[in-house]
Amino acid sequence: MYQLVHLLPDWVAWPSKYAAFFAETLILIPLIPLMGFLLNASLRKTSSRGFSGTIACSAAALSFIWTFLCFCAMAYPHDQILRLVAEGQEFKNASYVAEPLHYIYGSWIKVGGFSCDFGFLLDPLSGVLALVVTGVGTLIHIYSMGYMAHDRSHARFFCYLNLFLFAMLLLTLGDNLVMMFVGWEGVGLCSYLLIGFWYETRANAVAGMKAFIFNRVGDLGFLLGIFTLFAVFGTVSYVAPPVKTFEQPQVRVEPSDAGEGKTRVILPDHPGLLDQAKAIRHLNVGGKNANIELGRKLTLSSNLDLSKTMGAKIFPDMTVGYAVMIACLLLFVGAMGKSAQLPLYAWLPDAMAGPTPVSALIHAATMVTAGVYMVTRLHPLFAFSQEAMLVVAAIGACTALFAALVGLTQTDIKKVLAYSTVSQLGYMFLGAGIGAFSLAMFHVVTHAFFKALLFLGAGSVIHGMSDEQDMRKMGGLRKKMPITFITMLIGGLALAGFPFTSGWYSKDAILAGVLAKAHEAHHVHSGFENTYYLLYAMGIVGAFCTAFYTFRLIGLTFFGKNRASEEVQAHIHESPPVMTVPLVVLAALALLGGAMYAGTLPGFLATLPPTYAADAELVHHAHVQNLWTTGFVAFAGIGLACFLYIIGARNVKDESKQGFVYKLSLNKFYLEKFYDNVVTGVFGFLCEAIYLFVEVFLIDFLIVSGTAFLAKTVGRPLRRLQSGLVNSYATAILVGALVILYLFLRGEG
Amino acid sequence: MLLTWLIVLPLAGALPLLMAREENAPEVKVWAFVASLVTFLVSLPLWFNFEPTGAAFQFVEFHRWIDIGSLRANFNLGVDGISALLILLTTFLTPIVMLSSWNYIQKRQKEFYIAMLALETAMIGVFAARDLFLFYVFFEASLIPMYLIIGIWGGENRLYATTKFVLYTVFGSLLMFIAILFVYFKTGASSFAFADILQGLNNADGRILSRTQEYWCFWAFALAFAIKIPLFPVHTWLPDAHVEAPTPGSVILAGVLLKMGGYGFIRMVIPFFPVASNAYAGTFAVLCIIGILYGSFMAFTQKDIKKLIAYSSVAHMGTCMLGIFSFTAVGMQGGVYQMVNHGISTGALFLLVGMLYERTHTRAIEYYGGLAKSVPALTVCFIIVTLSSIGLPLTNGFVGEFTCLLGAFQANVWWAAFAGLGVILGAVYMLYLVLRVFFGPLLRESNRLMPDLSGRELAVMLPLLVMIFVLGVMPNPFFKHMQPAVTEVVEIANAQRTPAKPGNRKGKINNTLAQNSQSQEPPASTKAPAAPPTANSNQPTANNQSQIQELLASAAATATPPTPNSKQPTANSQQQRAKP
Repeated sequence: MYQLVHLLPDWVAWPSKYAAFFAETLILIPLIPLMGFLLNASLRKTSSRGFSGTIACSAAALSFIWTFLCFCAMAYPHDQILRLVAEGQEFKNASYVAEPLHYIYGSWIKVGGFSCDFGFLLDPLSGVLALVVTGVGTLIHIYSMGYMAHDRSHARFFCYLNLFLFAMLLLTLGDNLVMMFVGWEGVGLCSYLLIGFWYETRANAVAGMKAFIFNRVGDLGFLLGIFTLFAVFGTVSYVAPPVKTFEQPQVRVEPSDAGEGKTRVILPDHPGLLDQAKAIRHLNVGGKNANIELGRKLTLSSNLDLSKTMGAKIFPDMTVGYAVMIACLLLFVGAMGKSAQLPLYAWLPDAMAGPTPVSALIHAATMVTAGVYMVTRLHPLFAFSQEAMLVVAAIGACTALFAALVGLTQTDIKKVLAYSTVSQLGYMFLGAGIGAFSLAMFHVVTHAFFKALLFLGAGSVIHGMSDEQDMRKMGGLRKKMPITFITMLIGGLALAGFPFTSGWYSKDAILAGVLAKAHEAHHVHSGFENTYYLLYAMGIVGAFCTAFYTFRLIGLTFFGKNRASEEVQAHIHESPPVMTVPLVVLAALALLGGAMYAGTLPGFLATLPPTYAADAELVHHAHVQNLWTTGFVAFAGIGLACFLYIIGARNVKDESKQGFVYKLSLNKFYLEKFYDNVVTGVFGFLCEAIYLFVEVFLIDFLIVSGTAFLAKTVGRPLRRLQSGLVNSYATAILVGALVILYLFLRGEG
Repeated sequence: MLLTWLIVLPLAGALPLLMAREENAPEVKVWAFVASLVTFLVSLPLWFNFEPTGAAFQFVEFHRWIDIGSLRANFNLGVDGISALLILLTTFLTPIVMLSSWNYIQKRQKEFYIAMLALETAMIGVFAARDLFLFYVFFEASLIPMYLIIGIWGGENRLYATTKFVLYTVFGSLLMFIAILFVYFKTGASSFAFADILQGLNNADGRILSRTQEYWCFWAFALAFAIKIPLFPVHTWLPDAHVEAPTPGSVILAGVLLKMGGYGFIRMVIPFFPVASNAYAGTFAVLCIIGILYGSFMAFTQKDIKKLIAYSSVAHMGTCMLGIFSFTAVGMQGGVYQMVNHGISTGALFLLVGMLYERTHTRAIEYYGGLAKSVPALTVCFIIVTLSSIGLPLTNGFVGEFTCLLGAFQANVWWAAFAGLGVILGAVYMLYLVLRVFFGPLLRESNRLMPDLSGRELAVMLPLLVMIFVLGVMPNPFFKHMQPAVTEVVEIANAQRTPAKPGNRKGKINNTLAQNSQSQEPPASTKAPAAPPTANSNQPTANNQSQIQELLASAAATATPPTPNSKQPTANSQQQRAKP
């Protein structure tokens, strides 16, 4: 099932001898950073500068080591290797099956039919992301020790960074949707805290708040998506609980007794969401996937019983496929928030207000890719619905193009990279949307390498330029900062999709996939072929823009003459080794990371479905076509940027002299202005208006005080009755008694 | 005897204070704190010795009290999982509040602590009473100390606020009192005990009260408790009361007094009047949702920190009540859980605002800004409590909000969708508050030297912060405690889901039980096909229809035949479902 081609040495197989042990200790992976956080938080006041950094770095590194061991225990099963060796097969070329580690520590929330476990699942998908998170995370922690060395709130910074790792690993390794949601909001919190790290500047704090609120919009979608899936499937776990402490039971398809060619799907006990989704796909009821009414017990399968869930009650007369489509679209709203897709992207550029290592770790390499991870994790559900997938692909392509266009004209070095991140995330969703989930995850990995590298490089530049971020005031830095220059150049090549760099492998494969999908749609006349060709065209134009703005950035920063003030120029220096060593490591990964494509990585992710078209010739054809297109586009973009900004040594012109299209790009198509001014303005006005009109006037004045006034007005004449004259009282009593007597008598009669 | 002890202890603690003189203030404070702390310790067996196995009342006590003719009210105490939690919340918050008023209360200290202790007695009495009459006595008694606390130790506009508070509440509770007497005499119950009245309301032929009578009584009870909670649109006493009340008053008001409303709905309104509750569940859910959105909008626009938090209370209690009115096991447990959460989180917010007020003597947001620099510890506390209030996972708020919304979703998808907007809006107004108070540049030079949390203040905050995480990380023990009691209420509510014939009712109970029971258990019966087709064509069943249609159907009453519109989809779905 998981075809692995091994480029790694023999010893990677030994942890799997202790697979049970590693499964039980999966919790250590997120727990170690949490310990680091608690330690740093409690020693915040007393610890010296280097000390808190050391604690945080060791926590990250230990967590990486543990992830690596667990990963080996999962990906290189010892028993199977022994068997293959005994059978005389050659070790290096042997193929065998990864055995996911799954361990449930106990029940977290168990209330009235809803139950959610506290459990961890390390399978190839979560394993790859956990390795990236802890690996790139460790490098960025080390880099931060240099970058934040002069900051007063050193300890607080490392606290947040470790807390982020904890939350991100919960998101990655959690074995159910609620655990993912915990991590999801947790990373959102850390993002909020770190964007507003220098809170004394109001704009930073506002940017943090903006990020949190945009994410919350997405989170509501996520939450409702969880509710919907729970209603349909009666569980929030991805897969069935493990047997024998950690082994993951699988869905099996067996020939049925019913007749020739019929199959019977056997589900494990307490099947998870994905188990049930897979079973439904196998059953293929009614010729179309998931064309089953909610609330049915499926006799074709041994254990699939949707009649126990509340789905039929909540969504009357709805098929499973339709309900799942709604759930997927809701979940995708969550992904749009977290992964900064249109229209919820506007927080990410502002998030650059945080320290640069934060931009690298959270807003480029890990957190923002959580949306892609979520879609990939739930791919059997997304695969139910062509429509939901098309929405994912379309949003991805639009975002990829939009952000690339905006990136063309930005002048802040970090903003360029931020829009480039938004754009690359769009490519990932484009990949996921056409069903190429493994390629989307592959792009997550390579993007983590080269974008973290570019951000850290930008950080190094900013550090050397005395906190200057405006590229118009940079230039000619290649001689003074050689290591930063070389590493950033490598990162730039990878981002631009220069052949044989890691970014080329992943982005090229995604675009080839889109083209193949379009060809396939054309062949079967699905009616979507024009849509897919359009998506492909958007991707290609985006790729051209990417190549251009990347080398515009390199040109403006490292070539030409330096345009900073004398004072700043005097201080320009290469960063210390603590910052450059992570750069070099990341540069190596960005350059060679693509080799995984040929080797291991898509292999690890082979559980993800074989992507788009089934026809191999079609795929090959698309690949060759695409290779020429993307290659041409990358060279054209790089060439044009080099011509203008390196050979021509141009600086950015005065904004006011630019044309309309340029201004449109510079002002982000006025979308952010719309959010910042119109949306907040209208909201504020509405609140104020409701407060004054409904609360103060209608309820408090008219109704409450009105009642009091009424009582007073009615009371005033009545007060006259209290005259104090016994005679009138006696008369009143007599009259009253007579009336009562009359009423009684009438009642008797 | 435990419950009697709990009720008597605070009052007994207040007795010696009567003899204290004004110059004994330091001793008075210590004494009051110790008395409330002892009460808390004595209440601990309610947690540790509680058997979460059945819905029956525990720690039961019974003494004859009033026995005049047909009027029989007894000193009848007992707790189930719901009331035990709320009593613990009360006894947990009171010592904290005592400690927080150390320097805050400067005048008439002796009287203040007497009022606080008397209030504690009343609050425990409300939750421990197992007799409607006794409940009413405590319910009203709790008004008096609160009236004094706001009226004497409050802010400038305290008399307006406290009068508004009392008039609002008394208006509701007088109507309720009439309804209590009506129900009692109408049913001919043998005493005011909840169990007797509940039994009296149902006899062999069905409900004792006519539909009209039940609706009237329902509204009389519901209005009293809705004011207490407070639900939109009867909430306007709350912001005034909170703004004017001294910090300890605000904490108790938000932490415990509001919960009496929610408790009243679970203990009385829903079990006593299930038919009316079902008929008006939609109305109440809509009011809750309006409350959530409206409270959030109002909170956003406030310029006074306390008023902002008061409006956030309206929104949070809306979430609680929405969970309760979902009539699902998840939602109702979530509602109770969220009541406890709200007591802790909002209580903590009021305490922190009080601490700021003690330092600057203003609650105007514009006065602050950039405080994170001068009071880092207070900032950390405030941010943690804020996160709990906006329902961040691993804090208590998340568990409560999640379960309430899940319950609402199971009742009606749109309820959850609209109420969920509160999740976004909550973050908006709370983070905007944090931004304006703690972040940005230091706006006023005088705030630079503001002292950070003192040891006493830390001691006040620490238990609350611990509980925020305990409730957020380990919710299961709490859910386990309340499960039997809540399940019983849910069953009563769902048994009356549709005005079905007596013969049909049993099947309905089974259905709802099956839906609410855990997914591992086999379903009690297959839902729709089991019911006879004739019954289905005459009567729209709840299972296949959205809540609103159902409400329309039941509001139209059984006398009028259901409209063809509501009938047709039912019939269709029945046919489809019947296909193999």
